[in-house]
Amino acid sequence: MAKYSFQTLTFALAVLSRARAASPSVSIDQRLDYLTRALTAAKSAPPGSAEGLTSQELQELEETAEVAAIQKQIYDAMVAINAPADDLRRLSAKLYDVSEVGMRLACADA
Amino acid sequence: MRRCVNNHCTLTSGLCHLAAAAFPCGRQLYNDFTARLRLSECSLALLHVSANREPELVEQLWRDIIRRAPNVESLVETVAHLGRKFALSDAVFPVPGLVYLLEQRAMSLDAQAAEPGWGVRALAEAGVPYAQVFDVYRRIADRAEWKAEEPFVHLMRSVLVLVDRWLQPVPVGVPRYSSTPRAEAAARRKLMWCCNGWGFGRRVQAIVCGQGG
Repeated sequence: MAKYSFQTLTFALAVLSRARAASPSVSIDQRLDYLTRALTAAKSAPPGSAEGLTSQELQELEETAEVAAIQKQIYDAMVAINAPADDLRRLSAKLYDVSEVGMRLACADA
Repeated sequence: MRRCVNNHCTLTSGLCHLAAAAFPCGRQLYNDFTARLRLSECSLALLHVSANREPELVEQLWRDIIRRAPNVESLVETVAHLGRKFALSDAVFPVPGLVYLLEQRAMSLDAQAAEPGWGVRALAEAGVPYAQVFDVYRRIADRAEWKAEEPFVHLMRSVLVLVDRWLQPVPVGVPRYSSTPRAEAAARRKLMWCCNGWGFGRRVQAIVCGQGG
């Protein structure tokens, strides 16, 4: 069981690294796919056990996937309005983190 | 403290580091993309997943969405879609503010441009309980700016649409909008009391009688 979970986490880490790779060759759809696979792998170990992720760690991973889904929504909306190709390239070149979104919004509003 | 077995500690902490703190460019999503390109629906989605409450920004984003909707049907669809998507979270789907903005937009339109009460329809399709929507209309009707004849008549037309939809018979097996039969009965008593005060209690009573209620 411990060995299986170790391999699962190794796999999750590997696909998550691909998901967040800052590279124009990875599309936003591929990033979402990698994140989904990382989440599925991470969930396969019992939460809270020594072998698996804690519920908080799992929640953080889920939040990351949630933000990635919004990033994809933004990408689609930009395509719909014929946004500049450079903007599209910049958006899909990496993944973004929700933890700083609120701070930025607060700054923008101030 | 979490138990660490062999390399597990390194692996899990690495995973969480990647997941939670390794996307340092996250702040740019709003400023560089959604705000700059005026993707207001996406900005609302970002606010929905962030912990911060930004009522003024939310109002500003909704004003933009309502102003830029090409027609009423599109706006109804957008409001209904976003209400369901955000699970009616009041942080990004503030019903009182939305009723006010939608009625302001309706007032500015030619009466022929859309049927009365489209704002009510949008909120109902989003899943907002009728009792909650009615409560907001009741409070708006008390405001001085809606007391003049034309705005008041406009508002009451919407209220009649609301009443008509609210009092429609519900098929057996479909849950009521109010939480309990008692809450539903109380909400309807308040409805009748308000409509009497506004001078069209009989008309509401006729709707009820017309359906054999």
